[in-house]
Amino acid sequence: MIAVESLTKRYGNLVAVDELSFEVGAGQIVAYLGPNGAGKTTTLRILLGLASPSKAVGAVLDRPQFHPDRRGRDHLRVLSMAAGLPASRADEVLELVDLGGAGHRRVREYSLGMRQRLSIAGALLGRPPALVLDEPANGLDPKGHRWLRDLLRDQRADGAAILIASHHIPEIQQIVDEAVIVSHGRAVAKGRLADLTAAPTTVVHVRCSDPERLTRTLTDHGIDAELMTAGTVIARNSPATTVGQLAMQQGIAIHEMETEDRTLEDVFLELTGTRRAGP
Amino acid sequence: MIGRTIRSELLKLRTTRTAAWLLVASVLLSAAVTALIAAATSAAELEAAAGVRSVLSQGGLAAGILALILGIVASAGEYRHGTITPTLLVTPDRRRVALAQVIACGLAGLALGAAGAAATALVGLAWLEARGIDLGLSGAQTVAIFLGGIVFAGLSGALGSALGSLLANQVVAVALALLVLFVLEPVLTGLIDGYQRYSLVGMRTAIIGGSAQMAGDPEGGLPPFWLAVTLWTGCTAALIVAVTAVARRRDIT
Repeated sequence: MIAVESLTKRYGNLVAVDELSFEVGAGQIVAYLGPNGAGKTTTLRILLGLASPSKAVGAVLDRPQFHPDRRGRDHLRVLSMAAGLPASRADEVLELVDLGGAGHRRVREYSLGMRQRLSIAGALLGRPPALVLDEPANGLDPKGHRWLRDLLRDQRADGAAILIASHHIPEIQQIVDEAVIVSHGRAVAKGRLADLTAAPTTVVHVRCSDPERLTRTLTDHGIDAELMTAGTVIARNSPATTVGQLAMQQGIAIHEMETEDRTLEDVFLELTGTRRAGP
Repeated sequence: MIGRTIRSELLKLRTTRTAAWLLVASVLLSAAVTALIAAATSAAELEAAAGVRSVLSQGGLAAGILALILGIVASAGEYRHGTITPTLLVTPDRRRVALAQVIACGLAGLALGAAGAAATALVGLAWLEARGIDLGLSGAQTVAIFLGGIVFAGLSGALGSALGSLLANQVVAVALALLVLFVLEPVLTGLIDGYQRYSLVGMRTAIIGGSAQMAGDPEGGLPPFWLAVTLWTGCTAALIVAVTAVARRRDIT
């Protein structure tokens, strides 16, 4: 489990992290999102004991870097030795991250994606119950992204608590259970992914037998409804079930109804005020 | 627990080429400087014990300087390359990490010292023998010079590591060390009577078995070997204390 309780970090007069609290339970993947300068990396480094908090604290694990002249396998052997793990564990995690054939090469010869895999290998060395990953998909190709998702799902299935900070929001939306969104050092939203991306701004697209009458009906019931030129009715801020029930009461046949939920990226852009104005 | 941290630090040193290159450099530089000093010193000067000491202590001196650089590069390099991050994630006790690095660099310094002393012994003794110079030293005194050189290189590696950890910047730490040893201390030795005896240069010369002349002032005196070792170790210990105090509050970015 990873727990952060009333975490605060100041650099002089600048408050980088402000009374931040959240938890990542065992067997759970939580996204930690925020625009540049929101305090994400600061939070993770405090979690890992690499930076000292100005007030209270909490938590655990990993994000390695390398000496360019050292071989990948040797990098892991150094960490294994310091952690009291057998050298064979270095070979195991190299295989786990698909670097088994590259362990003898010096890190300066590694691509960005290979370095990222080596970072992840270092994080997995001690079979940690908690993983803290800052931009873990950096440098990975599409195949690598899929590999990472599968790896993290496996780790979650094994009971690991996983906290991921990333700008690749659509990517991590595919695997996270919950999200914490920070802006200016403060948590502006946190909760289950389904709750964050659901109402209040759900948009329902309806194709039906009488779009004009459905539009009037919805409007009469206080729902923001709009008839589009293609004969589609768009209802905003109302669950699809309500729209469906009102249509049924009026004897209007529904041909097609689609709910346009917000994505995590939408939520992020709205809450952090970074959504660009439309044309 | 600190044993595995030290072994890990030693493995770090063995798995980059820096230490290996410095080991080779220690042999070559020691041999070259020894030959240069032996060739440049007159027979009359070599007949005096101070002259022979000057020749035979060059290996320890050269190895010591290289060990100092190794210690700085190894410890400050952790910050340059960011490897301090995984190091502290595995071993969060920063004092233990700093101490393990100092010990590992000290051991590496001993290896550089042994290589340098061996090179100097081969070149220096052969050169002096070829010129028919009487060493004027007992066997024990001669061995003590070489052992002193090895000890000095070990102590230098440790001091360099502590300095590198404290400053966390390779260039600044190397520049500062060279500035103090080769500029500041000679100036102070010339300005302040009695300074040489307890200066880093004075301690260094005493440990490697050199003469007061090698430290800059023939009349300036040198501390006894045991005191020089104690004082040098004290300097290293003081730096470790400073590292511990600074490292505890240092944010790794």
